[in-house]
Amino acid sequence: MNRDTRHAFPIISALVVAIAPHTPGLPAWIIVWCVFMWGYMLVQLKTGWPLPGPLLRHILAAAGITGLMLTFRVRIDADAFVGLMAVMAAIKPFEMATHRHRMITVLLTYFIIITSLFRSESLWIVLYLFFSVFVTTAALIHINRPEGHYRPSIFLAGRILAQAIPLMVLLFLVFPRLQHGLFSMETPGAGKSGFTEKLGFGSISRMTLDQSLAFRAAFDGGLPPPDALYWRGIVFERFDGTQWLPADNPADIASVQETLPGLVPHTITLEPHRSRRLFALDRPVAAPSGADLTAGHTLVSRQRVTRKKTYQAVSRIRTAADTEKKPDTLSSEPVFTQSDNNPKARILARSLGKGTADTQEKIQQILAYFTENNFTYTLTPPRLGAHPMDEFLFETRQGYCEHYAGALAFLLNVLEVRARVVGGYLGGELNPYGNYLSIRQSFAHAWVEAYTPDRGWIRIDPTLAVAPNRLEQNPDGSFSYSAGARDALSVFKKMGFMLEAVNLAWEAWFIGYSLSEQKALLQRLGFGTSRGTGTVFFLLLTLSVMVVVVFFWMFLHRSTVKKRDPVAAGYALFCKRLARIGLTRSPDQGPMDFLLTVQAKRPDLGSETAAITDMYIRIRFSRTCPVSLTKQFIARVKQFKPARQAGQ
Amino acid sequence: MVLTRKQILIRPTRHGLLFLAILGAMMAGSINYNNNAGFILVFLLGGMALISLFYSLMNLTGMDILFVSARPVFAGQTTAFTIQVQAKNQERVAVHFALPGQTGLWATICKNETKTLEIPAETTKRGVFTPGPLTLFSVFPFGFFRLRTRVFLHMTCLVYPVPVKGPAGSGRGNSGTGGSADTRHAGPDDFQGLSMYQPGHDVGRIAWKAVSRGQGIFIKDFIARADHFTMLDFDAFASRDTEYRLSRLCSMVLAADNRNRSFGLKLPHTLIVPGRGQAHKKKCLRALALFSRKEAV
Repeated sequence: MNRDTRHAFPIISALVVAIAPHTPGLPAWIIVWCVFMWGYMLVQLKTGWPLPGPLLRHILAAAGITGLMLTFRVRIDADAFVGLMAVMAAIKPFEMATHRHRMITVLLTYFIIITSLFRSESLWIVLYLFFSVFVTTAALIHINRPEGHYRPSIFLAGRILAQAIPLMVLLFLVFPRLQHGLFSMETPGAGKSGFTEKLGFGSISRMTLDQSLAFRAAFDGGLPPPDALYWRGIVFERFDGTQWLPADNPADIASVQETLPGLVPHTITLEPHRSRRLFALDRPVAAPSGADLTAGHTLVSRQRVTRKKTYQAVSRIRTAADTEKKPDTLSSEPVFTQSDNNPKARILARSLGKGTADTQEKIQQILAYFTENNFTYTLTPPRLGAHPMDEFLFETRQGYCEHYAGALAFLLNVLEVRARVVGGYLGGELNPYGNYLSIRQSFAHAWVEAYTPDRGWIRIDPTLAVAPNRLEQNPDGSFSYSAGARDALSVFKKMGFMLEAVNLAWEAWFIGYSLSEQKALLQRLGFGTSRGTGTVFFLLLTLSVMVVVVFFWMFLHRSTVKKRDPVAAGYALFCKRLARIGLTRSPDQGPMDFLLTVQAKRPDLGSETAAITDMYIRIRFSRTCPVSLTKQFIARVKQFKPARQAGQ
Repeated sequence: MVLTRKQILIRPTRHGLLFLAILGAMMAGSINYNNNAGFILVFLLGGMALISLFYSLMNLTGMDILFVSARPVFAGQTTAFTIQVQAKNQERVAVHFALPGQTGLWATICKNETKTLEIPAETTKRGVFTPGPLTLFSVFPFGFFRLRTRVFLHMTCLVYPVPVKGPAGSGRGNSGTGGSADTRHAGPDDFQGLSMYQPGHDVGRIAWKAVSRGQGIFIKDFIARADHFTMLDFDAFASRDTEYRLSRLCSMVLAADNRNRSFGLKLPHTLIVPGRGQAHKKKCLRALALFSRKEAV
């Protein structure tokens, strides 16, 4: 391999490793593009095929950018940015003739590495980060080594990486964190799907295929029963004829019911979803810090959830037999402003509610109507038109949870029973190793709450009337935790659960490590309790310890190299003493020249300076100089104290 | 001379500054998004850059450099200062050796190895050429820091005047006369016979025919007559320009030596008696190089 091509393999490896975590998010053509370009480059090393010249390289770059514009249109987001970097990284190896190009390629690779961290901060991504940095650094060292094999560069990269880790850990722990970011910008690439903000017919069934994680929930005590796994997120109170709209009036009701029995504290690790909704077990009674509890007993974060968020929630699980001492008060006015939509459904409601004044009885009537009239539960309900309630109740009769919940709430409201739709998730997949539940987007669910004067808001899940096994089985076919024991799981499933549990433990600590955790750590170490100053003090302390260590290290290292030359020091002292009386040696003067100058200006010092200079020259240049002369020379220089004026 | 840390100057390279800028951008992003993995990467890269600085320092310190010699050249030619570099306890990677204002060379020296390097330097004028301190720099391992050190080795090189050809005869002021047959030197003028070869004899005088006949190695003996010598005289030129005269004399010395003639050199305050051979030629060239120069080698 000649000088230029020996760099190609390390650089291409670094680029491949850096781009690899992005592949799930990249369009297929960019992956093909990268594989083709890098493949050609590597094949070219063996075969010596021609490399594209400057013109072809520009054409390739233009083609890549055109492709990006066709793929991403005018959208300039994280995906487009990563796409651009991948396209450029693919053709970058073609122009590596100069050291500058190679260096810039490697620096670009470091930048690609950090972009992958904004997608995920899981344990695997962080471990992969070290691997990426290792490969890239090996390439960096290799391109700075004009000859030799790749192997020593790899070893050196590994050594430097390993030695940097203690420094990294220390800085990570003590570097002051901000409560909020510098600029209020959204994390690129994180949080695609979230729970719907408007509940129409079909808005939840659309989520059934989304297997991505919504959040995880860990319980301090035992797990709640499966029929209590309703995860409350959003309350819909207004119906505009086709869809339900939220009506959340933030109100401070966090002080109630703290002492009641049945409180379930749990920890939620929520995936970013770009909205302010927080989910908790039905119904949360206290808001975590940085969030509010609304009148509808939902949690709303004060900031949008743009990164993974871990919070503590406290909920009170109510069973059917449970009655509250103090029923909820109604906070808002009834919701139906328009009364001309869905006329047939309104007539049906009135016929079902005829002859009864009891809320419970009205509910039972409607649920009975669902079970007795061939209503079916399906993940793929047909589309509905302008009067969706009418069409669903009388024509299609196929629906997912939002159809049944929406219809029940609608019918109850027509019968002047206050009812609302609650959106959230139902169920959870137990990880037997981590004792936590994973809730996926496909577990999205909607149910109804009706207001009864004696019991307040009660939960009714009309979906169970048509699909009774929904409680045990998740929509994707997996079973809720009570159904599967640890031993019954396959090896792969077990391993998957285990790795997931390790990762969650990591994420709970690592991603959650922020200002408050840092303060807690510093307090445990005994540094200041007043806000801010403790952290700053600790950072300064750390930095000074680091500086001391560095100097100590340099001192140790220096002593092994060479002690300072005592003869040079002696001569320097001699010159310094002469400089004090105005006889400065200019840098171009040798000892002999300087002696002549001194003798010309101060003949009285002539003999002494001549003796010292002579000794100096003998020590330096004579082969037969005795070792003892050095001592004599230094002693004589020390005694040499020229007077300022001649003749004194 | 052993390099110590004190003499080393550390500067970031352009790529180092670019790296710093990228690190700053990464840091800003990590702070903004409170991205702990981002912090990990920034601190890791920063820490590695810092540690690489120590590797850079170790790459230079402890190296022992010794000036060996420099080949005399004619002015305008490129000479080479031969230095000996001992790597000592560790490998020295990609160190650039250069003299001020000269193009240098890169060298990598293995652990415990001693390498002889020839540092090129262009000369401009005759005399004693002192190239100034030897400058070493290295950006190894990351290319982010440029470590430079200057080594004062007191290197010198003799530079002869540029040989300039001119009209023949202009310098032949005093053609040799007189001299008797007694002043005989070994020379190529008259064939005298063969004598046994001894190490040190001129290879050009080996009697190859005798060698090919398997009779052993003999050299041909000649007798030169000292009365055929040329005196090259500084004052014999029409031009008043000292450098021109020296250049012409230089050319004539080379020509005379080439033809193996006996010649002498007469400069103001200096007289070199006629002679011939390598040592004589060098003596003459040296006198020309140092003419009216204060420095002595």
